[in-house]
Amino acid sequence: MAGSRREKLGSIFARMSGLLRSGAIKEEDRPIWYDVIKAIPPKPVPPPKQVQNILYPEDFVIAHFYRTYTDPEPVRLNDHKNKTVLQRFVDKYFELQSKKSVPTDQLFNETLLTLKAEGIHLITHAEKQSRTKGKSPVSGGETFTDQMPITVSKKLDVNKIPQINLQQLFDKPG
Amino acid sequence: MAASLCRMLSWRTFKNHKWMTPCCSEILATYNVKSFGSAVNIQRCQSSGLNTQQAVSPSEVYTKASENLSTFEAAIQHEDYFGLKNLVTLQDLFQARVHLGHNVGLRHESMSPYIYGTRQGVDIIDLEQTLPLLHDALNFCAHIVYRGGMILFLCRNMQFLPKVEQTAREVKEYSHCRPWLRGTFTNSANMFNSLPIYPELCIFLNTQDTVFETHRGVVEASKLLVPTIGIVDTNVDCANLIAYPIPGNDDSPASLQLFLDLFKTAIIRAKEKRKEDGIDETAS
Amino acid sequence: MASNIPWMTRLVRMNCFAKQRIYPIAISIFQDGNLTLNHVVQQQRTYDVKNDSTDHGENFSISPPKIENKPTTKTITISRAMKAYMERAKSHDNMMKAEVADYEIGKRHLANIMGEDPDNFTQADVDRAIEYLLPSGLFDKKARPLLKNPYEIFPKRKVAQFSLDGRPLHWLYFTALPNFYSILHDITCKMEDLKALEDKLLSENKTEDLNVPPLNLASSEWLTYQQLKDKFVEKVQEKDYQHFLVMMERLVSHPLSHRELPFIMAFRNMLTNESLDTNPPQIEYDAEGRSFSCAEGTRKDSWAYVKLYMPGTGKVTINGKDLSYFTNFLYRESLLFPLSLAGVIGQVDIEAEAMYGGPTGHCGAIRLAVSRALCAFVDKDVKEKLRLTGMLTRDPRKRERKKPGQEGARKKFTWKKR
Repeated sequence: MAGSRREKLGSIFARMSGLLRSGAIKEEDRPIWYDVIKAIPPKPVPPPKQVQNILYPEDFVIAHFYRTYTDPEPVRLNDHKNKTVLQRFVDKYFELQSKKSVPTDQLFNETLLTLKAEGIHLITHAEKQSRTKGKSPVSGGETFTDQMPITVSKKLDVNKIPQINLQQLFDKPG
Repeated sequence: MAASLCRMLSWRTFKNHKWMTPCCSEILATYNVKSFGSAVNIQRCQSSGLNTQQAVSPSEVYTKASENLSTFEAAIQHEDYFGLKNLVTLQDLFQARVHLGHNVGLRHESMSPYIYGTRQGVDIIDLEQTLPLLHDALNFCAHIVYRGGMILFLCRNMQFLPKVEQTAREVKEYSHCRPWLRGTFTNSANMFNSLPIYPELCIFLNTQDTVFETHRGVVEASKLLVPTIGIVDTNVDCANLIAYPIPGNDDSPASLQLFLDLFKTAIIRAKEKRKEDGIDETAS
Repeated sequence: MASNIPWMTRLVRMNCFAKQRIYPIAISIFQDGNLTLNHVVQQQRTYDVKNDSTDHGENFSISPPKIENKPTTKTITISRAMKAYMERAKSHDNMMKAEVADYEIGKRHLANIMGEDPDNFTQADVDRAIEYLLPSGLFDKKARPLLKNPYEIFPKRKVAQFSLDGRPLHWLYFTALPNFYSILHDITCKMEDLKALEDKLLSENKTEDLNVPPLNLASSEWLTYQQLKDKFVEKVQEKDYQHFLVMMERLVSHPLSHRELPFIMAFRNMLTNESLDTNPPQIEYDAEGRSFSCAEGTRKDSWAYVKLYMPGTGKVTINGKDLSYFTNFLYRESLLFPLSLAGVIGQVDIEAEAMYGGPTGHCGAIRLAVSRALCAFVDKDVKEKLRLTGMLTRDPRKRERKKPGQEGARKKFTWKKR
């Protein structure tokens, strides 16, 4: 192939045009792609730009949710009918916000209370931590679920004492 | 006249022109019967100023050639000759997960104009830019096939290798998804022991050889003036070497399948048109 | 014209070649002497690499048959690559014709010198004649003069890489190893098909096909690296060959692999059973009506000829002496080992004649000859026993040559530092 092998200088179209202009390749010997690329020129490369983060309004609510509350329950990915707890929280938040009856700084609290009324109990990180600490080393491996407190209170009477003590400790500063 | 004919004979650009018929049939006849002696016969045929041809006068030759040229011209003037515009929509691209790029840390700066933004540390490719680029690439590919060009499919992702090879085989084109030997294009004469043969278009379904290296074929094709279409992910550093870059996800089976189907359709449509327009007489 | 060259000159030239370790003249002959393209498409031709610089390393490709079948009214242009090829093929063809003529004449001259019929002079006769006329002491057999059909000497070359219009014929042409890679592709496709079929059968609960016992490929082995390269006529790399083996093993281990048996067997060599009866000694009868068999044996440089009479009285004669021919008891014992193995000690007479070498060689050579001769009288089980104990195998060990700069094969001269 005639021509330079410096691939970084100019596009192939520009280089082939140069070869044709200089006569290194005759007009009738031009490759078949030449006419096509002439008719469908590649789009110019846009100038480099600063890439922005993509953020949505609900991100603020979601971030607050995860900062405050622990992961609710495992999500069923194939369940498209029921909304997840997070989704309901976000929806409720925006619903309350649109009503404008609640002051902005009370919105999260109000959402929590509304959800509670609907039967969804959210556990804050602080609560979870206190529960973990309150457990005796005997049952250390277990994790908390909704049914947990009942079973604990029924079966393990020994655990009651430290739990109550700890509760009292927490109550004092409040 | 003879000289110009020789030149015409020698270049694939004009290989399908109707004006070749009589003299070429003559050559073919010789070729069939005398086989090895044909090279000499061709030369004799040419050097004697094509005394053997009776049916076609030089002027006729050129009118027929230009007729055919005008077919190509008409095709290329047409905005969407092969009906490829409606083949793919933004929705299809999105559903095939073409918008997913790589981690921000892997981004190559040259790809930043094609990136819509970063969502939770992952680059999202701007599909609104991808779509017209993809249309152009498909159109280009179809026109090359329409003019009888060879298409070479390249992909170095082992997961997609069988699929890509299968597709290339189905559309009767070529594929090279195996380790690239240095000099496959640049040292072609020695590697294949014949005059160099290059494809008219290389389609790179991914442009990375390994995670860290660019496919050597991109560079070699660019050196030898072979046009390229490439799906460029956000970590690709050779988008400037590719004539028709298509920003998109090259790592998901879904997106790769979409691209393969699109190119396959484009090639098949172009070949059908070729048959319809009577250019490809060998196909019948 | 080549026929004017005296044949002796040619042989001498061959000899020179041999010394330089360059291949001698190689010629391929075609029945009609008139090469056609069709002809070449059908057979894999070999070419003399050396003779013409322009032809060096060229792959001669030919148009596919489908183009030849086309009506002549079709349009076609001959690509530059194809034209160049055809010119090369032409010049090469001329060279080949000359070489064919040379080879034929050389062969006839050889026949005349040997006083044999030139028309019925076979390749075996040629080899014999050259060995006789040009005895060579060169160690490497490849370096000795020879006159052979090129098919046996030169590696096969590829034909048919691109068509008249310059379009490669193979869809993997650009990979440079199209045949090899297309097989890899086939393996992958077959594997995928088998997997899909397996899923289907399982879902339909048709397990009888899946419960077929696994393929028993013990009687064959994979093509060797060299055989694979020769099969594809491509420079496949060692690591690619290993990759091929891995893929094939994976295919074989699939429960449905029996469906792809023909494909698998195309890449396997059948192992031939070591035949016991290649040249079994026959039972003969002497003038007195005693049955005996004869056999030869070798060990190291020694050679032995044994006549084994059965039934007999246990008499052993070696070069006119009895068993005391060997002073070493070990030799006497090892000599009689095959007899004791067959349980015929005292039931046979042995007349042995041993030559060359020393007692160890004699002993080993006689033992081998006795075992072979015994095969004529004993049944198959005993024969198998003899084979398994190595009685029927020639001991391949030979005396190791002395090396220059040292006292013997391994021993070094006495050497003191100071």
